[in-house]
Amino acid sequence: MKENEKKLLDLVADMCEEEAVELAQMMLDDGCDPYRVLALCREAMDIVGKRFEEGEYFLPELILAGEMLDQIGQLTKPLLEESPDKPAQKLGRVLIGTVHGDLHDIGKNIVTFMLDINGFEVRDIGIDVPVAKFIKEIEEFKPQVVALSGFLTVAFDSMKETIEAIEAAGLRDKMKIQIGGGQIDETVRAYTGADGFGLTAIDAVEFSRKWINGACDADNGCLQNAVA
Amino acid sequence: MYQTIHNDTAREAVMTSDINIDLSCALATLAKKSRAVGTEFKTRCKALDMVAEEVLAAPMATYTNIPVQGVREEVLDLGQFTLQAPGLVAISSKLASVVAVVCTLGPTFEARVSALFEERKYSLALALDELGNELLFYTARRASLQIRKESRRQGLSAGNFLSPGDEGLSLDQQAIVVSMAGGESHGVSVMKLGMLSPVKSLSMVAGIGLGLSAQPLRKRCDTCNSRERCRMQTC
Repeated sequence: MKENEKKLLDLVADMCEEEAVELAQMMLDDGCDPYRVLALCREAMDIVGKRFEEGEYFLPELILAGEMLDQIGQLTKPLLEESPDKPAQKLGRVLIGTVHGDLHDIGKNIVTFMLDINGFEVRDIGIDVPVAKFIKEIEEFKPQVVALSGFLTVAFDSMKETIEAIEAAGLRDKMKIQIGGGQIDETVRAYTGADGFGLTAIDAVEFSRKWINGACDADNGCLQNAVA
Repeated sequence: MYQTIHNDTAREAVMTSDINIDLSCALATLAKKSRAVGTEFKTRCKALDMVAEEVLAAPMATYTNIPVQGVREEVLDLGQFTLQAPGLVAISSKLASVVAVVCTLGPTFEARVSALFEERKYSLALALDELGNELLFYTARRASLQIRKESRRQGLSAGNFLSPGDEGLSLDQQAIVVSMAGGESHGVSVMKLGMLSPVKSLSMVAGIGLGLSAQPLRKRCDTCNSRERCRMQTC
């Protein structure tokens, strides 16, 4: 790894926003491959994610790292070899929404952001989403992963209802479903019929990555065990 | 078995009060209490300025003090209302009345937070949302201090404040608590799963009577399910 590349990686991982964006701009001006710059930022995000899981970083650091990646991503956009006919390749499609009866959206918004900057195509359908809307959006967007968000414990029933409706509509086998948002654990996952659950935005990204890569089977869908 | 509470100790009948919080005082207090450093501190300062300049919050509390008529199993008879509150029934021998409180910042705050997320200003959105929670808890603390002061004036004391969803008060009592406090006339309503709207609102109840004591606020962390992952606990 070149000196500047190591420096960029360290600046992003160490939350030095202004210096990181400045260095990224400098590297791009000097002719550095924009894909290489993005790869370094993603590597830095992995370090940030690890520090978050270890309790060194918390949510503000995770978000700030994502914003740095976002800013640097904007710098690389004009330089990337893409056209309207050939949009940037995405890792997969994720549909996310807060289930009906629940208005909480902060966690959902953070997960949406993290999925987006990690290369997923994300459709956020909002809060208090009725079952029928989830079905309609799934049929239209054809996601590989559906993420159900809910903070209230009483939202678990809404999650179960939504998943049952997806099954009744004949759509269940076409996707994996993950849940998250509040006091969720393996018991809740089993109750709702979801394939997996996550306690953090990082979990949501990892789940989506694994499932879309086909590396995760239904019986071992819980990342929490692996993280612990 | 129904047990009538002889309310010799109830000094006053049903009483309702409003507390309007001075936003600039509240923000000044919260600005001093921050543990944020570096970039996080700068973002927090931006959030504080935003609340002040755009007047994103109109923090207020309303509360009603209702004498207890009787107790049956886990239910308190409050005349017009019946409240299923095992946490209060447990102290019913000391109970003269129940005070129900609703606090809110109003609807503008959450709309601004959502807008920031849509603008991809995530750090600022998060900082603003966190500030909103602090402002709401500040409002609740001011309300609880006022209530305790008024109780002492009557020669009584207030016990712990319980919110629907806490141990001793089920979430399904949310609508009753909000109704008791008169929350609807201050723009606070209860959604079908028990969530309050506006989102930056909370409700709580406490017993008022003789010899009641309250747990220090920091001890509430001991029973919080999120304590292990909470950065406020670990900072």
